[in-house]
Amino acid sequence: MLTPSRLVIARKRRGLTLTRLADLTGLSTRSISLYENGHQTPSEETLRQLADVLDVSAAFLGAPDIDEIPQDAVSFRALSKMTARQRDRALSAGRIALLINDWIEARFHLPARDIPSLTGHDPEAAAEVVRARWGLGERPVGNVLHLLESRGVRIYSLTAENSELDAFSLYWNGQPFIFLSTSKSGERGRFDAAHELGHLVLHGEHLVPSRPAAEVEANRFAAAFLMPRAGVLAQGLRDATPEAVLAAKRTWKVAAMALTHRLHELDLLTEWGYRTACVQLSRLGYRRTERDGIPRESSQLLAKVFRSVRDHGETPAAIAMAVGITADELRSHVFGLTLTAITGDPAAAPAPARGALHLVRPAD
Amino acid sequence: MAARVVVEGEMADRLAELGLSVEIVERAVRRADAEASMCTPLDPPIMEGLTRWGRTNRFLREELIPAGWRCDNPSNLPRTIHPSGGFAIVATTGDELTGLADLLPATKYPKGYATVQAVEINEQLALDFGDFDLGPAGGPAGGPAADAGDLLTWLLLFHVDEVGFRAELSLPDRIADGRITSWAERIILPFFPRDDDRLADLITPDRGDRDEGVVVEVNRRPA
Repeated sequence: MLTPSRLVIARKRRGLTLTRLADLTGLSTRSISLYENGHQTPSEETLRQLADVLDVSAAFLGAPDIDEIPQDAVSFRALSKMTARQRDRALSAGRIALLINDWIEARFHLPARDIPSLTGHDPEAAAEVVRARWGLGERPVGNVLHLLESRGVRIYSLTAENSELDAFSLYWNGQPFIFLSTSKSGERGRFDAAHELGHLVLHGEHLVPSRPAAEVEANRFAAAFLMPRAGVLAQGLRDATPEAVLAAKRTWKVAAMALTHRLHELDLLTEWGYRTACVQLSRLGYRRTERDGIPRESSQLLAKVFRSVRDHGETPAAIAMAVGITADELRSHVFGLTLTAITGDPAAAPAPARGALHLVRPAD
Repeated sequence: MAARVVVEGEMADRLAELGLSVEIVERAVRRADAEASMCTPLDPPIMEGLTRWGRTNRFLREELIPAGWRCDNPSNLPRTIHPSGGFAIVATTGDELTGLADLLPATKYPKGYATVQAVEINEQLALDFGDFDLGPAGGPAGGPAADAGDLLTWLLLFHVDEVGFRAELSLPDRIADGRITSWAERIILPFFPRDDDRLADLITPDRGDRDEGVVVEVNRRPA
């Protein structure tokens, strides 16, 4: 028995139009449309065929009804550049991550939400409030993802086909979620996560007045959260040279360009100094990449969950099966966030050979 | 006289006898740390320690006054006085041996006249009443006694580093040149790791991911 909402999500997840799905299955566009509207029910065989093409199990398509993520629940930075299909694909992929999350929540106690709602606040002030509330003072944030997870945010990976996005976030039944691209530099990942925190803090309650303005606010929040005013002022960075910026960015674990921008924002760099610094950093190759950057942050929550799953003699593939997706699909939602390899085969989970350690006596 | 050292098993009970709890102390120490962490290198150098010390005393008072405690500041010694009037506590920065049961800690800085006087009174009361065997509060029971002359002064020593906080509530009974040389009793509080204040009983420390102190609590629900 088909659940129409699940067919819609599985189709959009693959970035398929009705016509394209019709082509791939040999069904008519009209039939698929009737299935999706619930006006007609496919035979068992057709259901399996649809499931096959969509790379989910037939059980997935028959499980209880699920709501789509409404597009206005999410602030996409690159929205103007996105097609409707790209947007639907990202939201449907997110919806599947929410199903994975349901599985986890049913089995684990996870940190409760502790995200202040500061709708309408100035981003700089809001970042200070969040820092104060979380006891961060003026210190650098050691690990943004762990911090957010400890405050109740659930973090999943943006799937590879959605690489035109950096990140998006939403509240789902009151639970904050961030979907993060894991193909960017470590510094960029931290900034993206802080940017999404800005949306959750500033724009969680009402619809955002206008998207471009909301994006600017979230960026200002991220900069102030990662590089707090008083902490940066204390670093002696007035009229900083690129060398000084490159040294100081290590303290805050941000990109050189982000720190340069922050210095300008805090009036520590003149307009002219800012432009010069940008040009010099570009020449050194810092505009496109972050040279000798920090490693990407990973998810502590997912690592612990997968470890516990393993310790209980289950496999990630069994989780995938329970949710009705393939192990590959599961992997794509946690890719880059866990060190745990997720094997495709539920039976085979060979322990990696460990190098034996032995004590080497120093020569006298 | 060798200190009576109270650790884990009896510690919570002993604190309760004194009208205190691990949680009260932990909250005060952590809140003060959050305030101290607002200091930057642009603050005068003593500001961070001063803030921590000052706010620890204030937050302790804010917790205890609703429970009937009082406070005064004779010669700038910030005392928080038990409702019985029998003893007071004063939070002060301890040295790096603070909270380590087998070692002999001292205050981080030599103490001034007010503390010296308070410790001498502790010693005097010990002689008067004998070995501090004075019932639960460890001090003379009975009416309010705000005079510095007849109450015991316990020190809440705290020591902070990058990893976390150690604290002990201890009763000094000897002081020489502003440095405490003997304790009658030391109640050693558990170590409070940094940054996981909301996380009570966590699962095994993780093997894989080194992080910087933030612990994300993940616990299996009962099957």
